Amino acid sequence: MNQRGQASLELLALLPIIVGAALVAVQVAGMLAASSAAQDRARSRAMQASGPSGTVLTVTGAARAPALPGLAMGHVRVAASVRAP
Amino acid sequence: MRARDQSGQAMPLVLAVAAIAVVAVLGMTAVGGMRVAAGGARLAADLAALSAGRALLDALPGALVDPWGLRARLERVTRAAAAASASGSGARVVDVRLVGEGRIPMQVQVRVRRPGPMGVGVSATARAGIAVSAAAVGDGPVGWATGGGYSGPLVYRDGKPMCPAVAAAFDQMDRAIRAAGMDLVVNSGFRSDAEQAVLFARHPDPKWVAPPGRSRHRNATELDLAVNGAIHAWLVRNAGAFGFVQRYSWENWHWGYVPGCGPGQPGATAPAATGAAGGLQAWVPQRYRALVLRSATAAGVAPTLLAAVLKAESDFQAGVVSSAGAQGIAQFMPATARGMGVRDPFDPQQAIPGAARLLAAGIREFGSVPLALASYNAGGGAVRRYGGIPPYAETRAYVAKVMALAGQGGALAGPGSAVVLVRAGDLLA
Repeated sequence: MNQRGQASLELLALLPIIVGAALVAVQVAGMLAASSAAQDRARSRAMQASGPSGTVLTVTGAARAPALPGLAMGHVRVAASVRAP
Repeated sequence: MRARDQSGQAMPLVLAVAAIAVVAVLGMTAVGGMRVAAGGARLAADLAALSAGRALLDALPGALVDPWGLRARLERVTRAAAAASASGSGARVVDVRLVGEGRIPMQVQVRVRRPGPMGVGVSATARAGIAVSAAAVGDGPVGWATGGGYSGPLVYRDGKPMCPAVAAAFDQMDRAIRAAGMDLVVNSGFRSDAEQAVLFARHPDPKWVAPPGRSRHRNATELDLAVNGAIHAWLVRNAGAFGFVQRYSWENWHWGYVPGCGPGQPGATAPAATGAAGGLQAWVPQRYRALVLRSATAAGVAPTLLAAVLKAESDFQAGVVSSAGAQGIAQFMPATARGMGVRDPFDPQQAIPGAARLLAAGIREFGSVPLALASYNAGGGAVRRYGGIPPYAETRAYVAKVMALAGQGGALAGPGSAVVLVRAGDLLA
């Protein structure tokens, strides 16, 4: 009984690792999606940016990224520069 | 002893799963980081190429007047523009290359590098080119088709690209069907081979999607229209009058423009363009208006530009001969007329389409209206030799005069000129 309990405890110890890995995976996927969205926004804004001809305009695109529980909500920001037509 | 054995059985399992979890997380993080960096690099490359293209557009007019050291000057301004843009986007420029078949570059290709995860840099390449507005007809943004099939200006209807001649014919057909209480909507137009490859990969059935390189959509003459029973019946009855035919009996939405997009195509069968003035200058004689409009549309050049050339050449006098021996309304030299397939330069029905084809050929070769005009006046050889407008007083005055007559005030290209990212196969994602 004691021996079975010890093995069970070791398996139980695995649980946090699996949960942690899943959370990190969700976070990585979320960051990827947010980064892609931020890049799209920056690109769109840069394409529409207007200013004195010849000047280089920098715009930013931001998207919310998921945060692990207990952390503040994160943002991914992308800067993009383009020369005004 | 038994207890240690059983404990030892669970421990390796825990360690193995933990190791796999850690490796998986690290792997995902690395792959994700690389993808983010690659996206950032592509964005930086696109914007740097666009910036370099805009700098090229700004620099070309001055550079063309003084062709000496043209390439070095253009390289300098495009590199500076690309570097400033890339720097603001968190990347650095690795290479800037001017691209053009002749001595006048009309495209610029930029390669940038951006730091990625674990110190690994990620590179991306993009290309931007100048779309010459003189070839545009009608409303809407202008693009430039490359990469197989039709190569030339694109105009958009319902957000779908097509060549100017098709757009002009479609506009007329659309106006006619509106009078019947219906509306034409374009679902698809020109498709490059790369776009067709994507479609074919999604539906690899040749009956429904042609393999890349085999689709008629690469010719920029094909339109997929939104049809219902009434619209299809109307098209069957009337589309032929506008130059369109249903290409395949099993695709009631697919309509092709038979006359084609430009020089070498049977422009004489282009749709009768009308009575509508088509935005031509007021001084174009009434008897030539339809012919000028039809010829320009078939060749893919601006009707106002063709009209300006005829005005400058002969003031629309069909029987004149210059002291140098140039003949007719378009002032063709005999050899040039033969080269353009014009048997009788004194016949406006032949000479005006020939002039449109000659202009279109010049715009295609040199990529700018002033150079095409200089080529019309002094010959393509002189433009190539000098790498710009030849330093002949007559030619410079001619170019300025025609540009003024065309209402473009001597700019390199009209207000519709744009710098566009070039769809060049694997250059852009």
